[in-house]
Amino acid sequence: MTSKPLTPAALEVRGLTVVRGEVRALTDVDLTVAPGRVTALVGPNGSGKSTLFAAVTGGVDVTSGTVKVGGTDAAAARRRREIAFVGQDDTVDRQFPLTVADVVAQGRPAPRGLLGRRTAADRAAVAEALARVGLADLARRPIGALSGGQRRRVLVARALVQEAGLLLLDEPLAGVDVASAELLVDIVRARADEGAGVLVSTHDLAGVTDLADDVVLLAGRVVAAGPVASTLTPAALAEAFGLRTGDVRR
Amino acid sequence: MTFLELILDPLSHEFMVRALAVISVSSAVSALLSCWLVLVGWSLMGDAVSHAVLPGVVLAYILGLPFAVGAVVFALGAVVLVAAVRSTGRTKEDAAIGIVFTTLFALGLVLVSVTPSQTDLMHVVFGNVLGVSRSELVQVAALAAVVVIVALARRHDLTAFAFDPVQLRVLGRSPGRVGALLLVLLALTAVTAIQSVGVVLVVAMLVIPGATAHLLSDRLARMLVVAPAVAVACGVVGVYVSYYADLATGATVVLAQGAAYLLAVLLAPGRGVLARARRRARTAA
Repeated sequence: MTSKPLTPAALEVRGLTVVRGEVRALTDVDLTVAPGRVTALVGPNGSGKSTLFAAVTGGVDVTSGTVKVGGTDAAAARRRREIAFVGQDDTVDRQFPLTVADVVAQGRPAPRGLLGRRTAADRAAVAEALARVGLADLARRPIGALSGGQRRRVLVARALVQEAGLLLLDEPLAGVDVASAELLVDIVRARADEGAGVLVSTHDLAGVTDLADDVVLLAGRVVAAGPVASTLTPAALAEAFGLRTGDVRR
Repeated sequence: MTFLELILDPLSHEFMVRALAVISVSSAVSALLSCWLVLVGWSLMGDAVSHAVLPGVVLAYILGLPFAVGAVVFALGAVVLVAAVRSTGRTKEDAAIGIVFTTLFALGLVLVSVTPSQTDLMHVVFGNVLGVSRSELVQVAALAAVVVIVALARRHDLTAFAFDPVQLRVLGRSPGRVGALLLVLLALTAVTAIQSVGVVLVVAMLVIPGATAHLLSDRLARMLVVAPAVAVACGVVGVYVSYYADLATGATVVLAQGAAYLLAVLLAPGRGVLARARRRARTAA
């Protein structure tokens, strides 16, 4: 599942400000996700991580600034199916009459024609993605019969079959079991190695070193950004999380 | 009288053949759409739209236009009005829907009462499947064909809209546009069902088959076959029962659909009342 690296950058956000009603969710955010690298978006709850994803996926109106994916406007990139997104899955209807394979297949272009069926290539991509997330045996199960961690992996598989150049994951590790979390970290790393730019949000500081190459510390604005080792300084963390410097343990 | 005669005898009347044709076509198309309506959570919307189209249908009758034109205009108008009422801030969506659709329905009834040729139009309210003319049958069949073709051609969008509108947007489609498409299909379908069972019972045709099929299957692809099959069977049974027992046809068809739903609740494999009781008995033993 290789994808063509997006140039000049998988994601390039410049001067992004988002005002939602009375609330200024993001102020003048600059952020770059390079192809082939994993960028972690780190910040406390309410720091604007989900709003930033929504600005890329079209879920919120951009007040000012630009969001470019592979050098073009984000809306055009969405139409090219260049953006894959794994959201937080609490909205999935447990009774919905689709199988695991049906849900993953939604990441592929819809078959054409009245009674068009999925192509052999689609089915192969679905099977490969399910194998990658360790759910090959559950392909024919109803989506509602899965555990929370398994459901998250299904949504990741749906993002994988899209073979998009930009992969966004909003808190993929929150609330999943240890085995699922380790698997997801491996998959994220592998996608970057295959050429995709990956932006993954987390509020789990301990895991960032294993997960990401670069990090952006967010608190409504960018507090610090750069390679993980040099960026996650006690002072920057304290500023992002609103703590005194002495409270931060590395 | 043999069973075969029981079946064939009514078919010697042309009005019965037309009634069976209209019921079958409108049941099938309503049932197809109902699968998505129950999954999106638009059952109440089906009720609202089917009532709100009444003034449109009456005005179309007065102006000599196809019923479908008036129905679509008023269905979309009703949704715009619901949004407008909600935007006043104090009134929640369920109340807004209740206000708009009852007011439009009342407007329709007033228009019926002031329009000459009242009998014709009261049929729109209560249905008149035994009095369907050839041209009405052709109109129902044409509308149904349009709805089925468009719904099947866009089924992946409709399903994604029901399952995960965020994903639909990420893939460059507009959830708002897919919702609007579903609404137009709903209005057109309501027109076909109005011919069968009348405005007041249309919501049954738009909700019960989808809900029944959902009890019987875990796969949407299968629901899209099961729902129309069950609905057509109920339609045919309802027409025959009403013929022999001399009952209101539309209402009998809806009763048959309600009975089918009850049977599914009791007998659905795996999750029906009976299956669960049997499982309990087995674990207890």
